[in-house]
Amino acid sequence: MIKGIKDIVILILAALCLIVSLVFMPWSELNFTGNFPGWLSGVMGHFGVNKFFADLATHNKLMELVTPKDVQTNLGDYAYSLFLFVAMTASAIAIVLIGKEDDSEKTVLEAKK
Amino acid sequence: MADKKTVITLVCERAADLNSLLDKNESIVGMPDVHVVKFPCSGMIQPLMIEAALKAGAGGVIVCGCQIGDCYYREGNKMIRDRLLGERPPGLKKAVDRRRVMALWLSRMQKQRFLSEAKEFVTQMAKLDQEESTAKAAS
Amino acid sequence: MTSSVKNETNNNWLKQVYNQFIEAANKLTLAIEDGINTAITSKYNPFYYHGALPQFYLWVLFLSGLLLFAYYVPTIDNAYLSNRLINAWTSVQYITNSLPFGGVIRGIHRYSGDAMVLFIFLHAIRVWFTDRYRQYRWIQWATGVILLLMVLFIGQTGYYLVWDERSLLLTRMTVSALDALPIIGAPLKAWFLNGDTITNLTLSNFLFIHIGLSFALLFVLWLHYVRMTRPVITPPPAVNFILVAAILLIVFLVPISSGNMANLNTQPNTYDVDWFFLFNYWLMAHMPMSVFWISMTALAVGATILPWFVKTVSPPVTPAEVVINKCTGCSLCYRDCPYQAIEMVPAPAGSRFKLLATVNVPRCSSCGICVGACAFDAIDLPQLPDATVLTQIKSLAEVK
Repeated sequence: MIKGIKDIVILILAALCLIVSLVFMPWSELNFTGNFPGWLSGVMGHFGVNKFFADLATHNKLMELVTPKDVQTNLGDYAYSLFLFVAMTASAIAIVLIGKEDDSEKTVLEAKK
Repeated sequence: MADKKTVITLVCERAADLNSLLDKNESIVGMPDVHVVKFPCSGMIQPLMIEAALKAGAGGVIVCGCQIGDCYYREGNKMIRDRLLGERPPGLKKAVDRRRVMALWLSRMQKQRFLSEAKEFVTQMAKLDQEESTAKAAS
Repeated sequence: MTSSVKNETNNNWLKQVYNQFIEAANKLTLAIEDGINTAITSKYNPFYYHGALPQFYLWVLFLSGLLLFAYYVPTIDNAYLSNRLINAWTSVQYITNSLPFGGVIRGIHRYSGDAMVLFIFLHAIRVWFTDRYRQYRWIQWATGVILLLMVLFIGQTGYYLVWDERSLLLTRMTVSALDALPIIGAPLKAWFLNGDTITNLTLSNFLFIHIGLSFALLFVLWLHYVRMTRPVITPPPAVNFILVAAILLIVFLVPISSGNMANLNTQPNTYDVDWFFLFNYWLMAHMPMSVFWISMTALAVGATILPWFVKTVSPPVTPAEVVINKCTGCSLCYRDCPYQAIEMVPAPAGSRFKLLATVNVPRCSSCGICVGACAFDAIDLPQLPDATVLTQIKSLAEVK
C-alpha cells in the first residue's frame, strides 16, 4: 500500500493534521489550560488529558512560539488560529499530493471493447 | 517495417510552440512522418477529423492543446478531452483504434516535451503496425 | 502632411514597445505557470483559478462580516440611553477583546479584504498579460473595473466603521474631497454624512453603505459572468484551504487593534496607511484636490476604456457561420460555446427540424469550439472551413 516517499509524506501530514486538531486546537481553545467544561472534565480527567494540557503550558519555548505579540486578551484564540493554519496547510498539501495526477499533460484513451 | 505510416498532429496554435520545429512540408524537422495541422483552438478539432485521418491511412493521431485549465477560449481543451474520452458528444466512433490516438496538454514553452512524446508515439505506432501485419500474415 | 506622417511613426514606435512589453510579460506569466505546473500539476495551479480567488474571499468576507455585524453598534455615542458609553468604537473593542474568537474573526475580515484586492489585481494583470480582456470580452473588463472601484470603496467604509482616530481623519478627508467637487459636491457630502455634520446617523449610513454595496457587488458580479458559459468561480478545496490558512497565519502574526477612540473635538493628523485600500487618501494628502479628482477620474475612465485602444497583432475576429441547410438544431454547439454566442431559434418554415443555431456576432470569438461540437458540418469558421481542414488531413495521411 505504501510505495515511495510520497505516501510517507502524506501519512506524516495526516498525522500532523490529526495531532494539531485533536491536541493543540482544544488546548489553545481552553486558553492553554486543562480546564475542560464540567460535563467533559470527568472523561478527560480519566484519560489524564487535563494534566497533559496543563503540563504543555510549562514548556517555555512552546509558549513563546504560540503567544502572539501586541495582544493582551484572548491569547488562546490567536494560537488557535495559528494551529488551524498548520492543520489546514498540512491537509491541503496532503490533498494536493493525493489528488494530483502523475501525468496531467497526457491523455491516453482506453481501448473500447 | 515495410511502408512507414504517417502521424498526424492536430495542434492548437497557442499550445506547445511548434513553429520553430516545422520544415517547409509542415512536418517536424527530423521526423518527416509527423505532420502538423494547426487550429485556432484545440476545441475546434472534431472527432470526425481523427477518424478521417486514420481512415485515410495515418498511423496515429496526436491531439495537442494547452494545459488543462488554461484555454485562451476558456474551455476548448476540456471539450476535446471530454470528447476523446467519450464524456461529451460528439465522440469517437466505436471502430476507431484508441491505441492510435494520444492527447497532450502542453503550454507554449513545452516543445521539448512534445518532441519526446511524439518520438515515443512514432516508435509505438511502428511497433503496432508490425504486430498487425504479422497477425495478418499469420491468418 | 509631414506632421501626420511623423505621428504615424511615433504611433508605430509606441505600438512596437507595447507589443514587446506584452510579449515579454506573457512569457513571464507562462514561465511562472510552468513552474507551478511541474510542482503541483495544472489541477491545483492557482493561476488557472485566478478569477475564482477573489470570489472565494468574498464568501469569507460575507461570513466573517455577519458575525461582526451581529455585535456592531453604529453610533458615536448613546448618552441619552445609558450612562455607560456604548458606541461603534467600544463595540469593536468588545468584539476584539471580549468576544470569543472576536479578534480572530475581525482579523480574518480585515486581511481577507486585503487579500481580495491583491487577487483582483493579480486577476486583472493576468488577463492583461495574456491578452484576454479585449474584443468579445469587453463586458468582463469594464464590469471588472467597476467591481474593483466598488471593492475599494467598500473597504474604505470598513475603515470608517471602526471609529478610531484614523476613521475620523478619513471621514473628514472624504468630506473635504467631496466638498471640492463642483455642483454634485454638496449633495454628495450630505449623502455621505447623512446630514450636514458627523452625527450618530453618519455611522449608520456608513454601515449601510458598507453592507449594501457589498450585496450590490453580487449584481455587478452577475454582469461580470453574464456571457461566460460555466464560469469558474470556485477554486479546488485544497486551494481554498491554503487561502484561508494564509489569512489565519497573518491574523496570528499581526493581530488587528484599533487606535484611540475618535474625538470630534480634536483633529488627528497621522495614521497608518493600508496600501490596499487607503492609497488614495495618501495621494489626497500629497496633491491639490483638483489634481486628485482629475487624475483619479482619468485613471478610472482610462482603465475602463482600455480594451478599445489596444490593438495588437492577434488575428481579427471573423464570426462563425451556420450552414442553414445542414443544421439539425441539435443544440450541441449552443451548449459548448464558451461565450454564449450561439442562440437556438425556431427553424424557418418548411424545415425538417424544430430549431436552428444562429451566431450572435458581437459575442463570437471565432475559436471554433462550435465546429468541434458539430457532428454535421453545419457550422464553420469562414477563414478555416472544416472541409479544407479535412482535405488537408486526408492528403497528409496519404503522403508516402
